Amino acid sequence: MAAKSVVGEVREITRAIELIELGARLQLLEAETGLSRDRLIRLYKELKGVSPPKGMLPFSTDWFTTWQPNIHSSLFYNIYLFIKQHGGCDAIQSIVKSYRLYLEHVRLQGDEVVLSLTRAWTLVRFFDSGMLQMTRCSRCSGHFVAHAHDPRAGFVCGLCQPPSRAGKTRKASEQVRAEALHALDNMLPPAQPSPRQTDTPAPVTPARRRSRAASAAL
Amino acid sequence: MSEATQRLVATPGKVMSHSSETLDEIQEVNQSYLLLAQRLLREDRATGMARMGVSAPLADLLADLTLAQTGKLAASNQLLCRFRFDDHAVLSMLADKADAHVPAHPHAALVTASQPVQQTA
Repeated sequence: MAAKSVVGEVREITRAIELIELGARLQLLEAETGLSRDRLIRLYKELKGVSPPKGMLPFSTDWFTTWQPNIHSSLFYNIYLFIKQHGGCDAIQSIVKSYRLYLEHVRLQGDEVVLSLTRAWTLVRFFDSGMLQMTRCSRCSGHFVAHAHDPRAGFVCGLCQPPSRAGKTRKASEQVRAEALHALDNMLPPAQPSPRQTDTPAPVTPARRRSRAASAAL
Repeated sequence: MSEATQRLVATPGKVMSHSSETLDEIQEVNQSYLLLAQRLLREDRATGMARMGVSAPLADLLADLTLAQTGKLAASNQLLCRFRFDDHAVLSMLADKADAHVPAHPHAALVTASQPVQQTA
C-alpha cells in the first residue's frame, strides 16, 4: 500500500459512492473497498447527510428462508448466479448489477423492496461459506434459497404452495379496503362532485336514509 | 365464372396476402429483437446477458453484428428469438395462477432467471 495509485483510489471512491447510494452499510464498504474507515464515514455523511448506522449486521440465515424474503432473495440470487457465471464481472460488481436488476423488477411490480443491498451481500457470503444452498422446486423447476443440507427431494417452493397466511398482511388488507372504497366512490352518480366537500344537500340515497335512521336511534 | 371457380381463384390470393402480412410481422419482430439485444448488450454487457439469458459467446456475436447483417438475419420466415420456458407444464402453472394474494410475477421472473443459459450450439 506504499505506492497508492490515484486512479485506483478514484475508482474505489466511485465504487463506494455507488454502494452507499444503493444503501450499503459500513461493514460492506469496509470489506469491498480499500478505503479507510474514517474516509468511508466521511463519505457516507456527505452523501446521506447522517452518520452510518451502528451495530452488527444481521447474521442469521433463517431470514432468507421465511416466505416473502425467500422469494426476493431467490430472485436476486438466481440473477446473481447468472451474472457471476457468464457476465465475467468480479463478485461485488455482480452483486451490484444483479441488485439493480432485482430493484428494477420489484419497482416494476409496485412491490416493496424487501431485500436490501447489505442483505443481498450477506446472502452471497452465506452461500460462499456453505451455509445456504439452492434447491430446485419439483413443481415449477425454479431454484430457491434453502438451508444447506436440507433434503432436496420433493421440495416444493413457497410460491407453488404458499403458506395459508402468506401475503395476507395488515397492509394488504388495508389496500383491498381502500380499493373497495374507491370503487364505491366511483359508483356514485358523477353529477354531484363529492358529497363530503360541498354544502349542498345530496339526494337521499337508501344508504343515507339508513344512516340517518341509525343516528336518530342513537 | 361459376361460384366454385370464383372461390378457388379468390382463396389462394387471400392466403397469399395473409401470409405475407405474417411474414412482415415476423421480420419486424426479428429486427426489433436484434436491435434491442444489441442496445442492451452495449449499455451493460452482463446485465443485458442476464436480461436475455444468453451466453458470453452469443452475446459477443450479437453485439458485433453490423446493421446489414441484422437486416439479413431478420429477413427470414422464422423467428430468431425463442421462448424461454421449455416446460409446458411449468408455463401452464405460471399462467393460471388464480390466487389473488400470491404474486405471479416474481414466480415467472424467478423461474426464468433459474433457466440454463442459451448457447450458440
